[in-house]
Amino acid sequence: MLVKLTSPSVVKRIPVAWIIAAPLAGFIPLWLYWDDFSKFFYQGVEWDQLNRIEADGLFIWVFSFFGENFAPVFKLFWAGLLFAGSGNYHIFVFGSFALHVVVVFLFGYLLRQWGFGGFVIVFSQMVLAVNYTHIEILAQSIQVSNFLSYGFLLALVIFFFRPWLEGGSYSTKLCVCLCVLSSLGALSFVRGVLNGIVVGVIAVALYFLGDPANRKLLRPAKYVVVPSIVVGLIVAMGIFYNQTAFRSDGAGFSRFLDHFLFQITLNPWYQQLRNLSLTGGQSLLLLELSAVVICFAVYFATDFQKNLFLLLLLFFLGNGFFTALGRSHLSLDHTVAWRYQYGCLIVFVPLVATVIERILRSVPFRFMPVTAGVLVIWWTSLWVFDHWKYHIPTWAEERGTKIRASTTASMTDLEAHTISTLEAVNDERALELIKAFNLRLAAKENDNE
Amino acid sequence: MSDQNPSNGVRPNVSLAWVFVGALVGWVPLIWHFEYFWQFFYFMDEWDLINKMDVLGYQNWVFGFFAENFVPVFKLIWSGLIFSGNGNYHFIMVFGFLLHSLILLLIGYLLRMWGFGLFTILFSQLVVGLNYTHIEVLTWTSQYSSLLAFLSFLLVLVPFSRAYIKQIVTPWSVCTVIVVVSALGALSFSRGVLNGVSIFGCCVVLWMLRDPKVKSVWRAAISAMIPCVGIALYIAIWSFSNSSNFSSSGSRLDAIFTHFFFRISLNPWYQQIRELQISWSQALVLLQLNVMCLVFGIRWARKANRPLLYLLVLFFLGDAFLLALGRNHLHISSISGWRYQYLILVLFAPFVGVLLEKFLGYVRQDLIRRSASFVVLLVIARWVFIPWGVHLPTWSQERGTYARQKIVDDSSVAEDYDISKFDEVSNERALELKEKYNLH
Repeated sequence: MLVKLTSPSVVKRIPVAWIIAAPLAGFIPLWLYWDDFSKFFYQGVEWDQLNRIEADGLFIWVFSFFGENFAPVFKLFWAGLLFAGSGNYHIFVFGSFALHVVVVFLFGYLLRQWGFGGFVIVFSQMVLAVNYTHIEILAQSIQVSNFLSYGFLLALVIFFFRPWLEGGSYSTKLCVCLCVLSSLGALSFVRGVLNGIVVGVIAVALYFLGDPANRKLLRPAKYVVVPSIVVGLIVAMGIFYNQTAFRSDGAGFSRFLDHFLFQITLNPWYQQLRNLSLTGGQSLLLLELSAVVICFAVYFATDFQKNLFLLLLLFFLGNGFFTALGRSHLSLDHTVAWRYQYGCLIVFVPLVATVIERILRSVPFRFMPVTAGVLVIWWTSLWVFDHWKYHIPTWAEERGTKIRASTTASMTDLEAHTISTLEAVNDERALELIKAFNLRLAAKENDNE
Repeated sequence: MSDQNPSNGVRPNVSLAWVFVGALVGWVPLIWHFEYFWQFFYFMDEWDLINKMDVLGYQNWVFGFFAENFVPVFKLIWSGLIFSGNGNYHFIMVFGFLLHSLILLLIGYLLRMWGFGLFTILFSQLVVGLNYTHIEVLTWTSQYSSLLAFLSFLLVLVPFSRAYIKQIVTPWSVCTVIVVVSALGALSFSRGVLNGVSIFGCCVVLWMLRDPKVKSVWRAAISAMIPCVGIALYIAIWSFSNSSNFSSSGSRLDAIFTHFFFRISLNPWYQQIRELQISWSQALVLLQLNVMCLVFGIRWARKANRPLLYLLVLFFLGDAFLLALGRNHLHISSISGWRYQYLILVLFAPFVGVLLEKFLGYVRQDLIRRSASFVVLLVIARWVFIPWGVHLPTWSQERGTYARQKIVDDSSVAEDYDISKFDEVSNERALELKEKYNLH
């Protein structure tokens, strides 16, 4: 078998201090481009949320479906920010960045826990922290669900495998905590149901395909899988009763397949390398690149680290599958959308870093590997950060300045949908919501700055 | 271990019949798309060649330079075909396919000689034999110079390979033949000078790798190199004093580097995968693929096969370097032009063949493995062959039908260049040449 599924007896780890600094780099885009971030305002489906909160009441809104999403945890968090910030959109921007930094920290913590070296951890954290593709999920508050879900996934993996890595046992208290983490992930984001499932599958594989001593993983595995399945069933029922996009999947199998293949082949390289074409040939080429990276990373990783790679890759495939299932009605260029890159990067960056670290270690001179490592991290961080400057001004204009301007402009046609661009929320309704949630005040404060 | 057997680890285990069958596929494009191939006619450079032959006189033309090319052997053969075919373009084209088929035969023969497997041999022959990118080389007879040079390279490789495999020092009589054939190649095509140099370079690599077998091949390698170096020096001296492309290359180091990088990156995959766009990131991805193919091709090939693969890598790099030196003034998109693919495919196909054969080798069940190999060959052959049907109609229209119509069309203006598409040969001049050499 390619992946030897065994438990490590001793895991050598780098100091925690190493993983604290890099997550703070996640604030760099906010710090450097605050002028642009401060312009963002409620947009599109965010108006829909405000409208439903106001129309249905908070309780019903929290436990109702939103598209194919059943995400009460996310909604509670989002509404909490809305009320805590008194309608000021900036609170969402800060909230998103804070969550992003937490996720990057957890990411580093996870890699440290699994015994990866300083280079792999810092490289992975930096690439995730400053990547320009996060513009969509950092600038649109509705995408906070991604951060919540990824954060709960990382926390789940950390706490699930801690006793296994350290030779401890699984108490009932810990199992309940794992159950809560799995539930929170599944109830934050529609694809969060994957969290418990991938962890459970790896745990089962460790027992059935690996060491029989891993039997102790089966009990906590049940605790994490059950919430995912339950939430998954709720979501499935909700979808089949309410959504047409999924019910017509039988007729669109080839489109689903196209989307799935493009998802797993083009990501994450297409957006990171840039200036590539979106064709079948390109997807094959990038699949080859992914395969090379995966094979080398698995080859270079230690036995127990391979389990983490397997878990991440399983998550990647599951994510691609569900995204293709839910988004196959969109054009193929959506498969490489910026909002999907966060999860893909979490999966692939450690693989790439492992390969680079191995190459750097082959540099013969004593201080050269360290120097080269620092240069590689510096250069790669610059590469993935650079494009913020091209996109953030346009995004701030389209998704902030224009909307803010339209709220203060003299309205000639209140039946129009200039502010929200949503059918359900016309300008008259948007103005009502601005008043109800004090959104205008937040906008004016910004305008006066 | 097979490397210690009496034939020095290389024992052909593939029937020669397969090699002949593989060589015959080179005729498939001509037979399949006969109606389009028969439309082609003299075009651009070919009119220039005929015009200069007529104006300068035969001897001056044969031994004169054509851009940076000093190719008397090609000119002799090409003009010989015109005269012996009585100006018939189809006659020259059939000769081109004959060359193509001979090259395929030698590819198969050499791979068999070095002990490559049947799959690698047939894969290489099919990919090179059927590839749609040869449309430019096979339908434009002025491009036959590259085929002639490459044929001479493969011919020289036969005694070289024999010397290495059988561990016998090449006799002086054979060395004389090598000198002649190598010289013929270098005098057929400007990059033909690479033939002997790359063979010698391969010996140097083997010597650096402390391969004891290299002792037996020095004589053959030096024999192949001497004429190439001599001709290369002659061309270099002339080019640096007469050709602006070369004389200013010292001030265009960045362009040379860029062209070299894109050449070794984009080729051969850019044209084979298709629908890719040219960018630095794309080049990096393709370079990675090239490196993987070369490294794993060498690693997974039998130890006894590797010298041939080293030689192909050296040839690939040398070809890219010479093209970067001489063609860096052209747009970057010209790098992956169809005319450059022939040689690159010959060099790369064995590597990919070795990789695929290795993967197929994981299938333990013999019947399934054979069936899978057959399917892979079929799918790839189809993939590289299908675009002929897409491009030939346009090409034959632009490079044949149109000129043929213009010749019989009384309304064509004498001062225009509709027939030749070359600004030194007007319609009036073209018609003169057509009459004089009975071009048809």
